[in-house]
Amino acid sequence: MPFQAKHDFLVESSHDELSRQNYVQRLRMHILNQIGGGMRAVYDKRVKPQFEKSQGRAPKDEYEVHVAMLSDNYGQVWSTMMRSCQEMVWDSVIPAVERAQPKLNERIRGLNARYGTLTLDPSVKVPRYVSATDIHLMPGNYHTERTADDASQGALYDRGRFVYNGGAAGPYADAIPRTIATYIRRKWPDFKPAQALELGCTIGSSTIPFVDGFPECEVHAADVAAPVVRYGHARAEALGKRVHFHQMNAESLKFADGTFDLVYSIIMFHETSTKAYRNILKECHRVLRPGGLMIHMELPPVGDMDPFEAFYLDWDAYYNNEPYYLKYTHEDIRACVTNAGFGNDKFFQVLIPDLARSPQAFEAVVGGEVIKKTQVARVGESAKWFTYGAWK
Amino acid sequence: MSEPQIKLPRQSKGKRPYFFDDPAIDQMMTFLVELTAEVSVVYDRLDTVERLLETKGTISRADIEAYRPSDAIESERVARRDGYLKRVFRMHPPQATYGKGGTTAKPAPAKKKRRRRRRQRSAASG
Repeated sequence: MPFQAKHDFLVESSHDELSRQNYVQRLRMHILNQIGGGMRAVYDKRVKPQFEKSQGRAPKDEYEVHVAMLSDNYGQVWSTMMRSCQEMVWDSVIPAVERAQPKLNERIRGLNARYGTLTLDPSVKVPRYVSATDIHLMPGNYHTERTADDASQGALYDRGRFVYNGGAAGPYADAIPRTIATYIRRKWPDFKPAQALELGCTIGSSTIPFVDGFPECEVHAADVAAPVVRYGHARAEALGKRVHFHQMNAESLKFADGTFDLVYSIIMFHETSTKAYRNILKECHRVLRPGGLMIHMELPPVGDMDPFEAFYLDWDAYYNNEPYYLKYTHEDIRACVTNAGFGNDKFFQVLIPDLARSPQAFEAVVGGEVIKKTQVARVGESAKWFTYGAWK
Repeated sequence: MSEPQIKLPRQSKGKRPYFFDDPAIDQMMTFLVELTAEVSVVYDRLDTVERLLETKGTISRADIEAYRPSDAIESERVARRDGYLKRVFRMHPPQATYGKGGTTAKPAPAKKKRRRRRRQRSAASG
């Protein structure tokens, strides 16, 4: 269903704004599934044979496929629609956020927290990989503040991301973290974390499933951008969930060595730089207790993908303002994890089927079944989440 | 005391990419896609009016603004939007090569004659 779960801080849209947002959801799904679904056939039937005819060989990598596909009319139509639609996602929500902003900030400032805490640190410098570009074309990105105690980017992200997902991630937009939290609980039933930390938590919708999944655990969540943790704190309080939010850079956490049993992130690294990726992994190792678990859900590496799939997955890096995505999906993740201090034998990676969409396949993977094929995992197309990590 | 209203930016940072050789086509596609959204909004508004009129004799603008579809009605709207999207964005089927369109057909002789006559006329007048 296209409905987002309501809470006290979700912005109110008018009759026509809601209608527009609901249309954009379906439009995006149509472009992804119906039009995007034809891309492979266009490649196989037209683009690849034409390339072979002129070059005497098949395209050797995703870059050659990229150029060839975007020289084809079908690829051009799909691309221009993807881009316009992504702009429309935010455009359909911005007026409602703009209207709500003064009152919303006031209400969040005056919030009487009953469950968790919010610790802001004005000395945190927003890193260049966040400030340089508006990721996913969201005007203002995660961090922009236009007035004191501004939380509006959090409000925009909350509603806008739901429109982007088309409701595919459930009413709380938390299908992925819910899947990962349940996987940890089911796969390792003896693992009982007392303290957990999420990195790059934004508005905390990926934190709450861990609060629900590990009721005995004290759950902390960190993000470098003040507006999103401010909003996330208000959202968690409105939903009655105990989360401790921190404005903190994951590259230099303010926690002591060995503080946590569990450190995790949900689709964060591809929005950070190559250098930051390495720094963050080292910090994960440092703040974990011996025997602790580090786990990250991310885009699958493109290393073993066929050139067409790699091109299709990497499209967003070029045209959806995700400049670090490309470097990230080409990383040797095992090497990076072991270089951060984790033992090579402690590394694992697993493709986890979505808990809500394919519960049987999820159970099979918990039971040890291995899904070999790495599939294209743009939201709305796939329901298998690439996850990796290591035990300390 | 209430805070002043702040204007939020509508555009993201960075250069906007174009996919066609002529950026005007990308621009037209944006117009077109945006227009489909507006048609859908008008359709929903009409649907709201029709549904309200089914239960009330007269309705006001405020009734329309206050109306929120139930899950069941929204599901109907989703199905209608999906059908609409399929009809409007009907992609030409993927095929080995593009057809040559009308240019493969030989122009009708009558047309040729007319064209020649027109050229002669314009030469005479020029």
